[in-house]
Amino acid sequence: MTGRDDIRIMMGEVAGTSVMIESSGIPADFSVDGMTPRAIVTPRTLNEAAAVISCAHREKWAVIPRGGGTKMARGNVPDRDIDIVISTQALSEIDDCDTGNLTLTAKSGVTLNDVQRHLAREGHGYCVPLDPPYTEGATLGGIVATNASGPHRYLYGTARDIVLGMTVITPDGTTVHYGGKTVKNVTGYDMTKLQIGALGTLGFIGAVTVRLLPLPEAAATLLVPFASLDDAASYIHDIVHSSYTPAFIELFDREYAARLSRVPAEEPYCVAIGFCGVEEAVARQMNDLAQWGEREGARSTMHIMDDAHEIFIRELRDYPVTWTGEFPATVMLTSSVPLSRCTAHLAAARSAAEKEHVAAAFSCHAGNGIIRTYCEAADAVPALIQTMRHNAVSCGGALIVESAPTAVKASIDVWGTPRTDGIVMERLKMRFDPNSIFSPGRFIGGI
Amino acid sequence: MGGKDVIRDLEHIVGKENVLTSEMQRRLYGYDASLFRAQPDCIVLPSSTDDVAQVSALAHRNKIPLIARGAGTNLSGGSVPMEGGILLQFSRMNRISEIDIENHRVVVEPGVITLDLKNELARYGYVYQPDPASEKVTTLGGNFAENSGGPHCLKYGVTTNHILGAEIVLADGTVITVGGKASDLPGYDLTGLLVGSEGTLGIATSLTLRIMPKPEAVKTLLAVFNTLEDGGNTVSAIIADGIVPATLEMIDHLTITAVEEAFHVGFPLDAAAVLLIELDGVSDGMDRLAERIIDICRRNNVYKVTAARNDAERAKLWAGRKGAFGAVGKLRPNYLVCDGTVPRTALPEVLAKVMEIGKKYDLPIANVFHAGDGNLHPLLLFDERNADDVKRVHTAGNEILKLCADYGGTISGEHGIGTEKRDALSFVLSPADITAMTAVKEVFDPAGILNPGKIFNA
Repeated sequence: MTGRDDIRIMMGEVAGTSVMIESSGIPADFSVDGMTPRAIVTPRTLNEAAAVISCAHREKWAVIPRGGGTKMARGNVPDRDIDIVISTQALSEIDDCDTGNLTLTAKSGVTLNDVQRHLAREGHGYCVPLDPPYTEGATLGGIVATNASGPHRYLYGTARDIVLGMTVITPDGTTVHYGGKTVKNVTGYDMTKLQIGALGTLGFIGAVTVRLLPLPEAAATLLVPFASLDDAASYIHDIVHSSYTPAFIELFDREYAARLSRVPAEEPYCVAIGFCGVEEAVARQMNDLAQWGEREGARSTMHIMDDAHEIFIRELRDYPVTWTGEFPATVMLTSSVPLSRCTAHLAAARSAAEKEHVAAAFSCHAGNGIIRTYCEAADAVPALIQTMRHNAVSCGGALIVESAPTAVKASIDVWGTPRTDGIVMERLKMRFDPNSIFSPGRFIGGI
Repeated sequence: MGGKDVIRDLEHIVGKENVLTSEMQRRLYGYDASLFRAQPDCIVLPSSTDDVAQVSALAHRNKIPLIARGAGTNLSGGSVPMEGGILLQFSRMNRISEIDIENHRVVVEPGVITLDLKNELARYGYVYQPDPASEKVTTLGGNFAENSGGPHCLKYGVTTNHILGAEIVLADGTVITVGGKASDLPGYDLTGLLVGSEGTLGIATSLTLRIMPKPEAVKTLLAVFNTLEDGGNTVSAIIADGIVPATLEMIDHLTITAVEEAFHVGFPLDAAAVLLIELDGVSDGMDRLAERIIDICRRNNVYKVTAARNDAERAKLWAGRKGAFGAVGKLRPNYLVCDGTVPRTALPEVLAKVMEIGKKYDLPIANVFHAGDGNLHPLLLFDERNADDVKRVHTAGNEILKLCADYGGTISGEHGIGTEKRDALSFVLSPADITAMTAVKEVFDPAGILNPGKIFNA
């Protein structure tokens, strides 16, 4: 096993002096689940990154890719010591901003926020239709590697719908390009899909091509508080089965609402419906759905427009930041269930948390069957997870622990039991990373 | 193929009447809509996942090629059994297993015809969005294997965006489930990897698809142009103006002539090109958006622009578009359709160069394509019986694919690589890219029995 100084020397040799190597005094936030890497390497070009990875391959070093570091608590505790963390922080160029073609290609270390700011200034204004949490810090590569998503996924989908191409450095240091800058592409296998949500277990994402959309002419949110979950559920049911086209349908409880600046927390539940599009369509849907809400038993509704709308959706997106600000020892969970089981899952999760006396807040992407649970890292959390996972899996869904303190991870399974396709995942991992150097042990089934 | 023993074993699995071996039957299942021809050793008609799993295991044990086939409408030789073997024909697995409106999902067997599903869903006011032009006959299993596109993909995405899960029989007969009704299931997105893999990685025996409520309103415009260039520029201008319609389809003069002769849909015969532009969604604001589009058309020298006044008129326009490939078939005995796709901004330039290539090789070219996606479909017309024609058409086709690659595009947008475009793969993929893909192939199918001779050169 090589020591720290050796890593530094070898990195300098393979990748040249421009590679920044931190091997003394590694900042605490670069450790993964309490494990301190022996070095942090920050390549400035993809060639440098490839040289570093080739070296890691040769030396069988355990490698963990890192973007903005916002979601490093994701995944199982690595099953071996970490040799190097490869940071994408210096890989932040926008390589190709082709708004006429509605695509953008950028290096993986650029933050989505920087990309959005850049796009807003182009022509009539464009955006990447993704709104995952950690607006300030989340990088394109990290968002893709964790398949992060936000409320607007109801209308625009997730990374699997938005990513068109990728440059990847495979675990043996080979640079490959997948997909391209056309929305239709069936030239060979769709290899980009293998990297999305793979938590860096199949390689290092160097650059990403995403599809763009023009910024909508108008956007606004309608808030509809409900005294009962059944009423809220019935309201949401009517909307998702109508021809209205909301951008998002969020359902959250009072505990969640208490940390949003614009939302009155009098009622136990609130539905927030967002709209983007032409002004006439936004206005009419706001009005119609406000009436529907009252018909379903809401005592009042609230229109959130303009700047207030921007602030509101930012608060929704960055809720994990707000929550961890309050509860540094936090456990965040994501359940996914078939659409129609969403509110039942929420109700069961809430009562389980109550029973276990765990302080928790809940929100759902209610049009997608995704339930987010934010709770303090209490002793009873593993029991809560077990109950919720059982509920999710028994209706064909799953529960993922998004983030948890290392100590909590020791008593839980972050991903749940692999299904029948786990065997293929394992074989893919073995084939692309036979020495298991990339994010070792962090993914489902310990791959 | 292992002779009578294998046939007997197959008959034992699916029943004697579901194993076809006559010369005529083998010839019938030996072609698709491409120019390639071959013959399977036998055709097997499974009725269940278990049948398919048993047949796979048998093929695996005996190292016999196994080719899944839907309706054979694919355009790149993807379902032609190049090395013989067992051809699985899914016409008996054509049940819609579940229409789950509550969850916005349907579960289907692979042999269900795309339009049959849509017609069934229409009764509930729901839509399965992908709309390949051949949807009247194509199967959903085929759409899965080819990642089929269609006009409405501009707004709604291609097949992969609408397939969320599948039951897959692996090469050795193991059955796995990928994805499902819930989203974001943990692990690698094998569903996304398998869609478009042309039957080379696994065989789907059940598919979980996303459906959505029918849009409230639809508006269909027909814009007529005096030059192809004006049409192409209009497409770029609409996108650049921040409008993403549901469809932006272009049909050129030669295609119009053929379509009018066949269907009389009302495309103007003197037009150099028409654009079929459709908006859908909530009705409010749609008229204003249509006005904006009409204005852009005018700025790009449109000769005439009309809106379909009712469903019947709209259906007629679409019948013309969807029947275009068939109609063009009347002009010459054969056509080769190139499926190159380019960044939308490059469209007018590439289109002009495609026409030059047609002139250079003295081949008439009819264009009918998904302009909004930059997905070209030049149909190179020729006569298969003329050897010189065949030679020129292949050279010209290859040149067009190279052209698309050089403009930052790709060699296939929605028809697949199949047998036909294997040699052109290197126009867009490096040896390392191809090696990574073949590594995936080896993981799924180490013995190489699934649809051999496709996508990659051996």
